[in-house]
Amino acid sequence: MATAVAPFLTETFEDLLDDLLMRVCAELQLDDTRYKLAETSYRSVGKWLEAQNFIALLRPTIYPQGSMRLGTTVKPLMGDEYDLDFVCEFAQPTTYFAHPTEALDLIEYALRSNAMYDPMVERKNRCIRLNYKEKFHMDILPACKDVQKGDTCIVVPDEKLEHWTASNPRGYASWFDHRASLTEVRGAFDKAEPIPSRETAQQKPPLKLCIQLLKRERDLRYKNRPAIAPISIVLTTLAAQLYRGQRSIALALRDILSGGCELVRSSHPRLVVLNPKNLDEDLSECWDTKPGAYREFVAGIREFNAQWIALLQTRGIYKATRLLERLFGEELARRVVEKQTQDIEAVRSRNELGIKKSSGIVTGLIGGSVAPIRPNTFYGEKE
Amino acid sequence: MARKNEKFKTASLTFAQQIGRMSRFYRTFRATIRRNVVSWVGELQPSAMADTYTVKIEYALRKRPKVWVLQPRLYPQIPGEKIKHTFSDGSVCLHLPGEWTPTMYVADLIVPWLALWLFHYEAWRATGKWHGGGHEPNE
Repeated sequence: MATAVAPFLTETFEDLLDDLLMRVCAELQLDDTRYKLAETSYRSVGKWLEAQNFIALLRPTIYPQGSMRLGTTVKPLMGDEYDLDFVCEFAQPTTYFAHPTEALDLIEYALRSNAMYDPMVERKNRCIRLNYKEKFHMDILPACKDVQKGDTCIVVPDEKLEHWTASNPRGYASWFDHRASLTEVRGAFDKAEPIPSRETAQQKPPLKLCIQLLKRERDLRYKNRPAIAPISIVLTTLAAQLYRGQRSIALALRDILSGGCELVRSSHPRLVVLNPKNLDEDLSECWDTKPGAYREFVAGIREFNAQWIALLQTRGIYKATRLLERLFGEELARRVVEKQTQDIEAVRSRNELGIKKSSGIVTGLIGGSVAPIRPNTFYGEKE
Repeated sequence: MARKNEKFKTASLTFAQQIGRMSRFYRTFRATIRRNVVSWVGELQPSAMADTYTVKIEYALRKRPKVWVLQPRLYPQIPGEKIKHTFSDGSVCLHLPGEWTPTMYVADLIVPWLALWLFHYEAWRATGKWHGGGHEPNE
């Protein structure tokens, strides 16, 4: 007995678009192999660090941060690497170290003392990076508790600035989870897992899906100039702040984009995006040194907003497809439209397809106002 | 052929029956009768994401109904390419002989098939692939 119409057979534009967007996000998910690889690598590195006496003394807690923790990862564009960030938080205050860079030295030393990790190590400004040959890298950020602020606040060393900078990835993650759950979460979220168990696109709340779409659009827009692309944490924070609990992905993204345009309009000289759980952490500080990147961001969000409004107003599956191609990639957009069409055909092959009397909208056989579509064979004539 | 027509004659539905049913199900469809041919012009939107099309169905009693899309104009995927499942006069080929007979209502079969064709036409223009099945006699 049919009880509810499938999302791809609904009679509203937003529901149909949401079905396509959900399919886009499903395509953007990290595949199982990569996800498992990231998870295993994370566990092994964590174990290795904890097993080193000089690190164990500092009673470290190792936890993921960033998109893997938040559930907003997107498959990188062809040839690009994906990353996994995690924090190695020491129970000691910063006074344990004579200089912030010592915290980086310690992690680097621990990893270099492992023959497998040694050739993979790359020292960065705030973290030690491990470059895996399987096209991903893992950033390990040493951190100390921020004893003044308390709670989950931490400080991380900044080698260039030669001081400790404020952060709060755990506080941020709980804030984000709260924002994402403004609407009903369709899947379970297992907080006990070090890396949250993999959510399918269908299980993700609309906010996470919106962020995946924002990141994909960003990846394509800045494909040839990645150095000035807005960073994920800025996009994620803005989206989470502007999200108002809409169930529709299309409408949530509409409000995030228009809200973002309003924010940049009223921000001078630039928009400041702070970590809501540690106001001393300016997530958008890189715009201070790259004013050109900020101007690009402003132009980019305005254009995306205009494109999104156009998409919501367009009628014609092929016209909508062209717009989706521009935003999320030609091949990807066509693939999801094709899959939606194939799913509708599968319903037809079960003789469960009908059309709404009066409008002619193709839908499922539910209710009295729907006429069944009897089996037929589209034909033609010899040329 | 003669035998076939005779068979249809005995069971075929009248114009009055066809027009009555069409007007009950599809309110935008307006019927006109001229020289034993009933023509309906009406609007169909095959999906909430699709365009709204003005279509025309011509039915001469006991003949195969002819179906056209008037507005917006149909376009091929690639310029010059033939639009899938159409006749050389531009009308749409919705079914094989026998799948519809004059004992059946135009409103019950032809209109749903046309809506489905329009849906697949849009998806075909979007993706370059026809997913609605059927046969092209040349293929």
